[in-house]
Amino acid sequence: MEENRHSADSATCRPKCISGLVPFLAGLVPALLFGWLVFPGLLFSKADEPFYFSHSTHLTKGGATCADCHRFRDDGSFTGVPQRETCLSCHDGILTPEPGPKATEVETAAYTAEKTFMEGYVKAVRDIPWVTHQKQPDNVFFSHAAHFSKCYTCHLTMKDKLSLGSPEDPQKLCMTCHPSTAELDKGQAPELNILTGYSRSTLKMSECERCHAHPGHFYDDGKGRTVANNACYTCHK
Amino acid sequence: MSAKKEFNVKWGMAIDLDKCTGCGACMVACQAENNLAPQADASNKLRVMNWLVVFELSNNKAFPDHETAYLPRPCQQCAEQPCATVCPVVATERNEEGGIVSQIYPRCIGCRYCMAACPYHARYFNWFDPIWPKGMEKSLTPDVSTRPRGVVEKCSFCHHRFMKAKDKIRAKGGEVYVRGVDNKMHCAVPEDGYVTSCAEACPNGAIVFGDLNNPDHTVSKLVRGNADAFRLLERLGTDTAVYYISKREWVRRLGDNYVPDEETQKPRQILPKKH
Amino acid sequence: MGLDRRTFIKFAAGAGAGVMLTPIPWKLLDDSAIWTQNWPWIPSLEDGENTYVYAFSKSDPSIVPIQVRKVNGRPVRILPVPGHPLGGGVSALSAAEAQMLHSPARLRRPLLRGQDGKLQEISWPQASNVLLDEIRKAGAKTAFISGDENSSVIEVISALAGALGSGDVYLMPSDAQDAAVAASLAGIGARIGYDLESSDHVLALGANILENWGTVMRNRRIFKNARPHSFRKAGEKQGAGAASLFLAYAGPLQTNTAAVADLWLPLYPGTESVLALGIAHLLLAAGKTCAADDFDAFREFVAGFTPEKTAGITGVDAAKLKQEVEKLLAAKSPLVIVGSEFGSGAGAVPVLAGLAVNALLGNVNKPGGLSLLPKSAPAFTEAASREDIHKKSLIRFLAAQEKPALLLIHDANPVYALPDPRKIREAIQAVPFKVAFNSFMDETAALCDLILPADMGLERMDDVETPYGSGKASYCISAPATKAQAGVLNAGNTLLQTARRLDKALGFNTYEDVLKSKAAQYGKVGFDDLAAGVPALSEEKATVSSFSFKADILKQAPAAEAGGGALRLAPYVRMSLGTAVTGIPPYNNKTLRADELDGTLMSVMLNRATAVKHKVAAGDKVVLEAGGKKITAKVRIFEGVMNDTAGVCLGFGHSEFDEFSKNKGHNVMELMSALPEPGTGLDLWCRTGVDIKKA
Repeated sequence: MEENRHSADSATCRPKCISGLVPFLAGLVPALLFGWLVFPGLLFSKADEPFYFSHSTHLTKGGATCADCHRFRDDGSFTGVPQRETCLSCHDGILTPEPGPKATEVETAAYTAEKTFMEGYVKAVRDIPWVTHQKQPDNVFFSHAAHFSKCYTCHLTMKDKLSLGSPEDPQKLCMTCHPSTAELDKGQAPELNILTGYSRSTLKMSECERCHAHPGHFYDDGKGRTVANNACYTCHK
Repeated sequence: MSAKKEFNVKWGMAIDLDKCTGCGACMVACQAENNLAPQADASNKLRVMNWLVVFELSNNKAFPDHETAYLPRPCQQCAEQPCATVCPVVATERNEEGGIVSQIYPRCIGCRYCMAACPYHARYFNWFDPIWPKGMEKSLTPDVSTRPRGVVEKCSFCHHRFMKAKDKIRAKGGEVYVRGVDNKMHCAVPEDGYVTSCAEACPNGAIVFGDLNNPDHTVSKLVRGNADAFRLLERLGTDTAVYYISKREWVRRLGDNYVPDEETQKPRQILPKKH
Repeated sequence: MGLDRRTFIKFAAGAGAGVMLTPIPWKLLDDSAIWTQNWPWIPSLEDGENTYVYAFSKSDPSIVPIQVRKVNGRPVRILPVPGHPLGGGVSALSAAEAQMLHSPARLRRPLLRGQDGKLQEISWPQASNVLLDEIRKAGAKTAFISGDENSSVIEVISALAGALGSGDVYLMPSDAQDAAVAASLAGIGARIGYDLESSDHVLALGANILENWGTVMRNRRIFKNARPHSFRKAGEKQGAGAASLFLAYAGPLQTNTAAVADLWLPLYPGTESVLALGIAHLLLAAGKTCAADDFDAFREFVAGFTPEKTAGITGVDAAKLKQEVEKLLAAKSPLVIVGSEFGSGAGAVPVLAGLAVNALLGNVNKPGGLSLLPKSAPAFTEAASREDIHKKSLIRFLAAQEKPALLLIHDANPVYALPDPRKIREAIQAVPFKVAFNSFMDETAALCDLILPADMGLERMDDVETPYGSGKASYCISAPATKAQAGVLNAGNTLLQTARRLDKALGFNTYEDVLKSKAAQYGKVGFDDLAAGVPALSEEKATVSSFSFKADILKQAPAAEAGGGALRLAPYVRMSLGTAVTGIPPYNNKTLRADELDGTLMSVMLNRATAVKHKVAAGDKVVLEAGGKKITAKVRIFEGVMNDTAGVCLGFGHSEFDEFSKNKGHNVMELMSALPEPGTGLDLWCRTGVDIKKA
């Protein structure tokens, strides 16, 4: 009885094995596709900025630098996302000419944005509810001053990939952690994680640790300290 | 226990118990600075959250020979931490220049081993969600995160003020650590540039804060070779960064467990150093 | 191939394996961990620019110049102003001022008592109209009570009362009142000040100078500067760095001041004036003298106060007293400060006795001595001076048969802060229409017919004029640190506007104009500088043409005995518990130790010998009874209490305010009753006898 069944099974083994894979793959492949292609999209919702804002326009046409709007205060703190007063130092009126019939999409958008800004926020004396791309949690202490001084000065002398910018290209340091201006302009609407509320481009601790926990940073710089300390209190509050 | 870490800068405190009147200004300033939530019933001391507590001391003599003193107790910032060694998730450590024992709330799992280990009862379990009366959350500082229910909290020597003081120097292009005339590295933050909230608030100047390793700082001058300075439970070898000063011997004797005929000890390390 | 069980399991296994190879489980796990860190009911922090504004903590009567730290315009922290002549640190009460702006007990809308007896929200225009109608109706029968003796609102009130033809303006009883009356009785046309800065020996009788008497922040700064930290080399007996100030404290309790004083002289509650006379006796015996109208009468009267007799009344050890007087005599610039043990109710006699001692010490208008400060002129011509307002007793006014038609109570909580609150409550209830102009819903506001929500100190421009205890005349402006919350108005402005609408314009359009006029009186510092935190100081001293010991009044000192009872009641003040006007601020109840408040039960402190004598033990729940009024408390053995004395903390037992103030102990004022102080026009409630028994 035992033997009989065994022989019968082995006779049909080969086609059965193949057909056994099919349902497995039928489960596996859609799961992979869903997990890698669809799920990331489902996890994020888009949050529109209050009005159109182009970093590139400000940098090229406006001739501004990052530090013109994102600056340090006297007490060493960083202003981060600017508010009305910063904008008003240049935008004392609507600077974009009123779009004619031949105006490009960008020109029209810029005009509308400036108009919204002037009427909806300056005249109404209302703070602009910017949706931030990279807001850190409350328990994180991020010091722009530390990164500007320590990382920048040290890496200035390093070549190639290790360089974090140069006097000619100071923005490179910003772009080490922040999305490039081109990226920011492309995705006007930050994608917010529906569970956590943080934007997709928010740095996670693992990304901080790429530098902070980098073995190359754990040496004595001759002044009795290690560079890019990875102690908990370096970043947490 | 891992090897004790020595730092060039060791933030510390000297609390003059002959000046403290126990008014509680430091306790209120601490709560406001560090975003501790208020509690309607604060009389149950097993449930109340305080990073800094003022204790009342007594010389245990009957009236009229009685004397009283007040002892503010922040986290003692031990160099040999009983707490960090028992933390199963490395939520607390002393690993940063300055020697402040960190407490990372999102990492803490609330097991409370550290509370059991702390001989100073300086650690508190957060029994309640940090909730303020409606509107009062507007008075929160942006400096210290609010801690959820279920984690352990403690005094951080207002570590955020240290961070800010460093940023102030960096933003002006300065170096945070510089070599002093004694050829040792010192923090370039001026002595009054980083002061804890309690020390700042105290109207009697009872709390002196600074770098214990910097001979120019008042705090180090006050504790070095001062037989009136002592630390709490010195014999445990915790090597704390909080010194107390009193010219009254009975106060100094309360700093440790003495047998009646034992002489009051001077500040010293009693356990042999391990390294 | 049909969908059999085996196929389905294979499919599920494939899907399961696939999911595990995608970010789904890992990302969700990570994100849910972050999600749990951001519960929506836990407030998130708001970053922004830090700005700092100089102001005064108007909630704290101990005069605290402060720096308000604001983030994005929101006041978040109260920081000290180290260089300020009235400043040094912050008090436990002022440190909570930013949080108190958002207190649940804050009044945010005007309230009017309707026909059904319930308070209903009304609008400000409605409220002003009601106020106007009531003032028109009451006319000269309008009475005013204010709790702020340091700001110019009292002048606005006084001017308005004057314009209405009413002389009924009262300040809440305080040390300043006792001193003003004493100065007036002694014939000094000046304000009493204390030059603590230059003194090398301070003897505080009753006055808890490091907690609640006078310019506390300044007192404490002086104490701090005069007492270097102890430094003693190993093997040496004595440390280096001698204190430049010897501090002695006499009082029934080992208070905060006593804890750090060089000497504590325990005495029976309310016997400070007798102790002062005992000191005067020893000073006279040592050959001290001074020019006074009634010197001989005084000498004759004080001759009876031998150290032994003084010891019999006060309980102060005669030998210790003699030693202390020797020290006073040896000191270069000794100063004796006499005040109430709990900030009110001691009457003018103790201050008079203190004046006598200082006069005998010869320190009047000398460095480190008693300073006589010139009186300031009110900004309004028709306003009474603060000194004149102080001369009138609020308690007698409330006890009188004839009631005003309208009572306007500003920044005061008489129903809680005055002795025998039940009687005060009845007296106020008997007034046909009561108006409260307060920031918080307190016990008095709850009785009123119209409640006007007032802005808080941080929200208004206000002033501080030579607070009692100062050694110099000064004028300071407290700038608004933040915009006032919606629904609250400034008391000064509202009263000025009310006067205008009554066609009795007082000469100023806004309260700020009043302050500008006051500032101009001091001259030296411009208004903008004053508002930016620069104090105007005057070195001017008043000269005295005549001085009288008032021996006839001082004779009353030993007469008033504790009113029966086995124990004498010694109330004390902890500023961290707030005032009658603020209640206990959030955060501050945490400063109470477990042995001070156990749940809802407050403690009564006895020394062991007294407890044994009265058959109670530590932890016993007891009833304290005086004149048929009772409170319950838990016995705490504290050896820093005078024999046969019960120490109890004031500031508990609120029935209004919020959850931080309510359901905590009893208001000790309930045990006290005011007795007239003969010859001064004031009242006493510092000598209360209580019985104790187990509950």
